[in-house]
Amino acid sequence: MINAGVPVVPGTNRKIISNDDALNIIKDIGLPVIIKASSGGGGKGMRIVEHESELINAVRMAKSEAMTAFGDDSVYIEKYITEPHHIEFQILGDKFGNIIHLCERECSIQRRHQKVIEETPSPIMTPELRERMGQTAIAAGRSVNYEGVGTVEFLVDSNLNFFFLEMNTRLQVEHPITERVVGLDLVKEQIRVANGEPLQYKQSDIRQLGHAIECRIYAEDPDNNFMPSPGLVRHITEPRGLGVRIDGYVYAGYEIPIYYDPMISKVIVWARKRDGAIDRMKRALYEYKISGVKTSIKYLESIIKHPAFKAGNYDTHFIEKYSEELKNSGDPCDADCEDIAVITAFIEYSDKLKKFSEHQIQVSSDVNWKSYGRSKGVVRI
Amino acid sequence: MELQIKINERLTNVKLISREKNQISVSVDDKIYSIDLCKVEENEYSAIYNGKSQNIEIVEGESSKKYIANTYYKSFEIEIVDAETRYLQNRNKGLLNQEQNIISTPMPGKIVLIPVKVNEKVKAGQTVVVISAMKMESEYKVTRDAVIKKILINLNDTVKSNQPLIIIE
Repeated sequence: MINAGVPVVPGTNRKIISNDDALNIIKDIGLPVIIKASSGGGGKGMRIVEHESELINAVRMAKSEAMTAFGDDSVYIEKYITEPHHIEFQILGDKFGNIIHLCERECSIQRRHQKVIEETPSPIMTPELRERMGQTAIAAGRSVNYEGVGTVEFLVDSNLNFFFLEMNTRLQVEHPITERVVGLDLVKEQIRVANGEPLQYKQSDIRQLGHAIECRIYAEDPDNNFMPSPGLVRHITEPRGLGVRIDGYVYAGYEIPIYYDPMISKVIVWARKRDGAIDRMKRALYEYKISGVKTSIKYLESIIKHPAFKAGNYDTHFIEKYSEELKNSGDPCDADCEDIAVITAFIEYSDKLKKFSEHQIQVSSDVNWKSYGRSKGVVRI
Repeated sequence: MELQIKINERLTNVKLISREKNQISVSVDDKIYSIDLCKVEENEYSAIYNGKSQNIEIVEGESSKKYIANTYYKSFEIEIVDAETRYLQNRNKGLLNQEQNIISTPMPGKIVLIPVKVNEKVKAGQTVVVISAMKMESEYKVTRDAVIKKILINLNDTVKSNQPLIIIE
């Protein structure tokens, strides 16, 4: 990458061989540093080290996580840039040496180095920066004769300096937002390239239209330190409508196992402007209902509604910085609401005891329109 | 009908005053509620109280007397406390005192590391077991200086939530 003229973050270009090796590296480049898995991705096997005393343990944990997730425990160290944006460029190359970029994805909303929300275009992007970063991404791809879809990830600091981070040589989780704004089916393009066909598009054919946002739905409990929440999915209502796409695999009756990543689905929305996309995402998250397991849906809603997010004013520390506000936002449930939950359980339990009694609560209430409204209200239609 | 119901950590006395179709009058502790409550779907209730409507989802929990109640923003753990529950609680009282000596996990997962042995002395904050669930590892630590008395699990075991893992003294 350095030879191809791609700026990189200071660090090592090899795996750590011993504890002394790790200590020597941090003496060279200075703290804070980040430890990463060589065959990694998705935040697994990553650890930030701010104090020298944490180093040895952090290396051990990173190695062990890397082994479980990727079957390879090599890790390396690099300088950790504070207040960064994580911005990545989608590239597409064929076997004839043609490479184009499909613009950026802003992926700075992260928790523990896992992307949570992605959007394109990036709120901090300028046409001039897009051109420079796009050309650098293409140069990075060209330096390895890249074929297929790939992603070149950059860190962008507050002065809009950018550094090559890593390249993901695969289709990524967040690819649908790019598909939406450039109008290409990336899976189809990937298959065409693999089939030995030349690219059908030139760089000048690529235009970003409108704004797309993706929210990742995790089976985890945001009220309980994001503890993984495997288990039985009882019921699902998915959002629908113009500009809403759901990529997911769970269904009512499905048991989410403990062995895989907690991500269970993705909501992708599109609108002509960023504000419209945010509003559409808010509605989609409201309509998305999964019961049985805990999910991150309400937490995502609190991020989308946060003034700093709305203003497009955020970096990769957003979630850490506003963690308290994000936890306590949007909570109209008062003492009465708690008592109403108690009463509902009381009725449910007593009806269960005398299942065939005349008093069992019925759907039909006094007015038909009212009954209809109430039965549709619970599925958020 | 009268029941004791526990919601999260709060214990309430709930008493049915009257019930005519969906119109329900109930007292929760000293407060009387007149609510229009109807079950619109399996596990789904719609409540109208003081002219405001609210949806509550009630899902059965670990036993037939435990429920998870979800409102739009909140989730509550609810337990019906009847004679049987009280009897079990009394019987387990002695065990409760021992609870702080049991290391357990709130979530299901797989044991990936047990860095201690039986009879080993451990210091407060020391990791005694590492559990992996959904590709994330969590370290479980002791909160005080102690001795490892019993290890109830083996490496690579799959554990359930709240299963005792290690007993310390």
